[in-house]
Amino acid sequence: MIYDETTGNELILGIDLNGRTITVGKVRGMKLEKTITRKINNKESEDTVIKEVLNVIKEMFDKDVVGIGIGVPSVVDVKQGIVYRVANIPSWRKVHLREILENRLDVKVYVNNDANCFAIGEKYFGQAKDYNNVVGVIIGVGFGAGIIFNGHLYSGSHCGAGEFGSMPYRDYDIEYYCSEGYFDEKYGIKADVFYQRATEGDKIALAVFEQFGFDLGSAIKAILYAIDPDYIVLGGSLAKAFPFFKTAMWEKVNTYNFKHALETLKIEVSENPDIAVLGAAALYHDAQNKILRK
Amino acid sequence: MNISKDIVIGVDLGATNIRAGLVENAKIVKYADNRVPLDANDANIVVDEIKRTVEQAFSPETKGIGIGIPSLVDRKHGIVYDVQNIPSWKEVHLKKLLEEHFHIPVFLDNDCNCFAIGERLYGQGRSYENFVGITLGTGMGGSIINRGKLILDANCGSGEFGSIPYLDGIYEDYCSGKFFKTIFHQNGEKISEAAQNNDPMALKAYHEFGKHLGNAIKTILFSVDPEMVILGGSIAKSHKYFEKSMLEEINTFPYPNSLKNFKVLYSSLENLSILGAAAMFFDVTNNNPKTVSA
Repeated sequence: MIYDETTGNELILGIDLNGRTITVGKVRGMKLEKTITRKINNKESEDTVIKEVLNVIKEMFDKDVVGIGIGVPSVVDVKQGIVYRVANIPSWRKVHLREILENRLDVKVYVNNDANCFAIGEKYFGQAKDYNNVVGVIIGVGFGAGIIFNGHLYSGSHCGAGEFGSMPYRDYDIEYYCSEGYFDEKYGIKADVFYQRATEGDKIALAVFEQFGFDLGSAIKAILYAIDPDYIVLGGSLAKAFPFFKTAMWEKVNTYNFKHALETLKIEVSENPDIAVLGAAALYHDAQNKILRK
Repeated sequence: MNISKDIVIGVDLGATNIRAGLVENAKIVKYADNRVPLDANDANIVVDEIKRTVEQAFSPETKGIGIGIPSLVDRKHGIVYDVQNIPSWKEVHLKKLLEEHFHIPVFLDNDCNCFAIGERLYGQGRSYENFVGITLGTGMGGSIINRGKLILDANCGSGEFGSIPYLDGIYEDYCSGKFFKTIFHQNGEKISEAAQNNDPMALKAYHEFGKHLGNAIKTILFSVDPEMVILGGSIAKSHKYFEKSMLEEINTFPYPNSLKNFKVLYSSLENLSILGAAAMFFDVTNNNPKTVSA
């Protein structure tokens, strides 16, 4: 796998700002050279959190850095690099993140939401390299999805694409049934506890994940009808329970009308623990319009 | 997108008729129309009729042929699967058959994709890079234009928003002629006539139809966040009866940002199915510049 020649060995910083912590990775060419993770005082004022974020970035910043990509769990105005109502940082209601970082660091900065970073990370650095139409789905606190069309990130005209979680489903919406919160709300037990019990063979926990698999399978069917991707990659905290919901999920997905499409469709779990940081770095490559050539 | 000066034939394979037009400078300069041999138990009888219709519209300068087909199409290999009105067409290698006969490139796609790319090249889609075309007729079809082109999805199956679950069925049950048939026991034409005479039942039917269509468009906004949606097909002509309730429903979309500048347009092009099929030639050759010499 090679990029076109211009990719070379440019040094990019990929940043995963998940709210409570920040992870900064040095990505040179295809290689993740080093990462650091720091806690941030997420309850502090807007300016204090910005300063903390800048300080962590500066630990890794040097004159070779040509660009920065940053993934944020929020609504993002990708064109202007503005983040809105960031999860876990209450004071960040509307932050001109790109402008602030570009002014301080004097390099190109790209901002996007975490699901889009996940998808583009899998395309450039992960398991989706060989596919041109990809959906990356994060099943965790929420249900987020990033779309790759023709090898490029597709954010929609107002950065609102991939919000499959908000589609109506049963008596609520897809996100309600396909994220962590559902386990707690429906059964009064956290998803992690169910996961632990499922690994021990607990029948109730296994049945709970089977139901989850049916719901996730329905969500994936909606994605197939809308986007018709060749590859779907699952990430987020619930993805590790894949062995427990896989069969039910496929049972539902297999009711998709276009049998011909099911012959080639692949659904897998992301295996790269650094994909959030790599995906943030990939924002830079995607913005340069570099297409992966095999 | 530039439309080259190439002369192309567009073919619309409809339920009852095969229509071919010689398209030059976005105009149909020669036209042919023959009936689909419906009782044909040999797939070749229909293929021969298509050849004959194309020959009637042919000119020696023709550079290529584009064909719109109401079924699932393997665009890459030019194979047509399970055409509803032509039982003998289970799997027809139409591209190969026609290229062997005419010795010029032939491109196939489903009719809704032709509609969308036709609007993009010749219609109101000329000013939009990212939009969704929806056909409202006996069924509900959809097609996504991204960066000015059809997305090269995995199986030509994208944009099938009509198949996404909705209420007790799928969107198509409520957003196509099926809705008028099952709920009001009328076909689309009758309902349209009755509405023109201010029949309260017909007006109520359109009002409800608009609400359901508004919900379908919200699902499209969640999925791909387009700049606009353009509606075509026979029911779109009656838009004045359902527009109000449709827009009311769309305005309940939870992300007001995505509604900024968002538009719903109605197709007004005549002979769009033929122009759209011809447009396929330009879309494909633009995607793959090597397939045609400049």
